[in-house]
Amino acid sequence: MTSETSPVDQADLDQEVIQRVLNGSRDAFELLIVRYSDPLYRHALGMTGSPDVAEDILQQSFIKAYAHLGEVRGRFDAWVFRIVANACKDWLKNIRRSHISYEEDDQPSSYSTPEEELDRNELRSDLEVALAALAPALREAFVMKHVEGRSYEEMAELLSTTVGALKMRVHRAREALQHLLEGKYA
Amino acid sequence: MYDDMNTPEDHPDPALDFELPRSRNNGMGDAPARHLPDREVPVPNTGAVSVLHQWLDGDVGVAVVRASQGGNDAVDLWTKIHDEAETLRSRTTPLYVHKRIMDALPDDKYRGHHPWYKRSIAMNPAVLMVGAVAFVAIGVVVARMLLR
Repeated sequence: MTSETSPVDQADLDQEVIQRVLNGSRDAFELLIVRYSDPLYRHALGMTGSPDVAEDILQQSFIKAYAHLGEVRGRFDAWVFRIVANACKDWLKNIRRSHISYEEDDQPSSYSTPEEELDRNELRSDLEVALAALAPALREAFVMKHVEGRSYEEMAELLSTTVGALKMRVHRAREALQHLLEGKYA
Repeated sequence: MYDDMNTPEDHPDPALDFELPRSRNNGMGDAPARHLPDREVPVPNTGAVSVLHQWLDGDVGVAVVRASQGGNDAVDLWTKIHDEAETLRSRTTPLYVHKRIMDALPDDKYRGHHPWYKRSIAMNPAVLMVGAVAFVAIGVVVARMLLR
């Protein structure tokens, strides 16, 4: 999840931070938040389509991680990813979504013309609706592969499943999305 | 390379189903959300579809897809989706979220989170009294055992 250090070094650094937190240094936990919040936020945003929900899931997940920090075995990043991923899937299964709020996004636009921004907003909206049609596990696989840019091997490690099963999920997700979008965009 | 397609049809991944979009005025249809059985997911396992997946998995070049039937349309669609995904990939956590999380953490969760044998004991009359009683009790037990 970070580029400067190897996963092994990163795991050691994480363990040091965790130990400091367990020894009473509450502020040290912010190092873990800063280190891992971006990929986790992107996952939550890709899964829910809503910045507000993604922020809430991120907050709840880190609070849960903090409360159970003494139970971390192995890599912290994989452990906290599973907390976020489960929270996202729970949200998708339970929430009655009355709206999908990419429209609420207040990050600055990077498009050159209003027309281009309009087209992209429409595609974004349609893509979100199409993603919402997928089963949570298919959406999760698609988001991890195409939004987060992870390899199948990394996905398999994080989700504790096989590369073959994940390829199947990604392929099914692509086919469903293509079926839903090609009439309008292809 | 394509081992996922070897998954037996009679052992489907339970995750493999999807539902139609929820009602929404966006040109994508107004059908109410409902679950569809897996077989309704279009899986035309043609060569063109296989090539498309191989391209999206980075195994073949785009020219191979474009050369297949309907390949140009598929490439155009997936290029748009990919561009949108790239936009999402550049997103970062709003900075106020870090502070919000830190503010929401309990203050004393790990304060004094040490094994009992490492904890210091503050001396006061109550602690001294308890200690004395414990020593006397242990002494009585030991004395009784020795005098038997």
